[in-house]
Amino acid sequence: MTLSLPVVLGVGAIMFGLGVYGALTQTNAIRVLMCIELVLNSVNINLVAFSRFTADQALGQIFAVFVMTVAAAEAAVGLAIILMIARRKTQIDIDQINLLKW
Amino acid sequence: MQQYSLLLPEIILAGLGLLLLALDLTVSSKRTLAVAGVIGTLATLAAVVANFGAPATEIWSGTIRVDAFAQYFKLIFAVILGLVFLFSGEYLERREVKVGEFYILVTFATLGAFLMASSLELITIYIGLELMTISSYVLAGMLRNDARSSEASIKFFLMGALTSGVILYGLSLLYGLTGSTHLAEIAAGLAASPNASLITAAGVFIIAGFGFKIAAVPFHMWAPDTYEGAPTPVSAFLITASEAAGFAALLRILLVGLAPALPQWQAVLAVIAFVTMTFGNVTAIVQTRTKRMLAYSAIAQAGYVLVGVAVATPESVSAMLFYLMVYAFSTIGAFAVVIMLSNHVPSEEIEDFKGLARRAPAFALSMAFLLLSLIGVPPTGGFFGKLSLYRAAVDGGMVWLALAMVLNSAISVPYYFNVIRNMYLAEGPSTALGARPGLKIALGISVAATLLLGVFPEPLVGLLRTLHIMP
Amino acid sequence: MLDQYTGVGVFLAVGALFVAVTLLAGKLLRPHNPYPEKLATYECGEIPVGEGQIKFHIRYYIFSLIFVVFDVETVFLYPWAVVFEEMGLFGFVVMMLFIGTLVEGLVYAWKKGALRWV
Repeated sequence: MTLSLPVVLGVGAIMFGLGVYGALTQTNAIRVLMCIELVLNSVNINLVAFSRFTADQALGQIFAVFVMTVAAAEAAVGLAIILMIARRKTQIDIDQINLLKW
Repeated sequence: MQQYSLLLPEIILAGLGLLLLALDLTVSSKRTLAVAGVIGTLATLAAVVANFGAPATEIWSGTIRVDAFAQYFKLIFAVILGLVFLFSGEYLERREVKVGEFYILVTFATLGAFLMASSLELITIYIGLELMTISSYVLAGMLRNDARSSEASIKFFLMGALTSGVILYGLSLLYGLTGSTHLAEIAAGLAASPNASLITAAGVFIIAGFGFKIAAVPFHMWAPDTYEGAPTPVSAFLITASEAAGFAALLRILLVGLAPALPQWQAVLAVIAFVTMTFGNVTAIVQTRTKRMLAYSAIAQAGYVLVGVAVATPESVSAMLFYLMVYAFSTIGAFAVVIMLSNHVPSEEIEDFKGLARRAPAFALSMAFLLLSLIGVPPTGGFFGKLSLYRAAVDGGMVWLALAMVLNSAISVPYYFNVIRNMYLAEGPSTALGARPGLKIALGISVAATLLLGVFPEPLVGLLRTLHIMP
Repeated sequence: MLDQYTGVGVFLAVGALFVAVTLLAGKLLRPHNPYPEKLATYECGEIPVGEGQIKFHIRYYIFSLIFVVFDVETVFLYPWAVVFEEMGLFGFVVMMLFIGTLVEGLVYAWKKGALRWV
């Protein structure tokens, strides 16, 4: 059996679906963050797969490297925000963060 | 060396950010930072204007594109940045925000917006988008002692990061379909591609993702909370610069990259525009807090601007670019008044405007004028902007959307007039209110520009006619 | 393409077997004679204090956040190193600008007290 493009894209699509589903249903902010990372990594799988199988060039991999570094910065900022909230409220369930509503 | 002169605005802005970083460590007076910021912004503006006449050029293997379209957006961003530097100081000091960090982050966020506008290449657009939004997440949470600010920040972050992922997924599909990350090559590749369903999927992800970024209904739920909870200068920045940058990138991707598939999206975009303006206006009527009212008003305004995208003719694009400029000035000016008021009355309720006409006549008059511009009453710039959007929609064959715009302008009258009524007719405290010179200058610039764009729109309209989004 | 993973599979199996065999051999051969000092957790000769599984102080997260950001940026150094000779002076200057920007960020975090242990 050989790895073909649809198989890899399928893995990416499943990861994307899981990530979006988790991000929309989970209440713990850290879990939501993890699901978002899943989404970003599904994008990386897509990019690398396209780069390897169709385009056969480094472009997709460069894109993936940028996505990785930006994702790290994003995670760092996100964790810092979560930390700021945890210090005051000692819990980070986003259901409980509900001061602002119409 | 020509490429560096074309990049000069970005280079100056990046240098300004790094300089502010160093100044924040070494200088104890934070007003020095604001002064340095204003000077740096003026230099950036000068560099942007100097590049206006240059022919459209792509540098660094097509990653950066310098054309009139990009320069126009950079002009908007730089002006907003300058006004933010001018009017934020007192507010930030009163609320014990770390002023230096605020100035640094807002500079880098603007740099991100610059990059989004000046590229036809997906990786650069993505880097610009993230530079802008990641800085904005922190900015939204800068009132560390205010739980609402933290909440604004976490909501903004979780939705923003997820939608960045969704946009990226769409972009990765575009790359896979065409083997390129340059929008012009993507358009050529898509025209030849038989994979209609994948193109549609990419379009769905990209439109939904940018729908979040520009706070279009039904992707708007984070926006009112974020705009209300964030520090007021940050709300002003997000509602104007961040939104305009989202439109810049959306325009490029839809009208250049997805051009072959565009006709199938126009109806969808028109419906989104209609729902966005109607929802924003109707919800704004019942608001009692100033910033939340302005947040829903911003959603409604995003709906008007989206009309320009949906119609997708050269006229509609130049009409929406004009409207974005007017909108930026009117909104920033209105926020300057809100900031002045909340420096004295921290509650930020619409009721606080009671009696403002006697407490600070010049501010009240400016606010009334800017709100009239947001409604679209002559002789303000808002009137001319809406008129040209209306005309473009009729000429583009979307008469119903044009009618919806007119109806919506009527719906929006009560909540804007509510503020004016409070200022002029309601009884309130009578102590006089004042502000620092910076805020007064910022307000003066906003009002003057809004008036100028309403009375003499021709120079800008002429400029916009020469400006092409396509390569 | 998957059969290229055969070698990896064999390697994994041999590795697991090696660990199992050596641990088992050690268990069979060594004398079994425990006393309290032997069972105590090794803390560089000090007498251990408290439990091993504790909550870490929240300060650790700040360090790890800063580490993650700067660590990931090194990923750009690898492709740069590969094409360093072709890029010449221009590539060197650009990378120094990149690293200089990072260093300024690090200095900022340092001066602001993010690296201070409290």
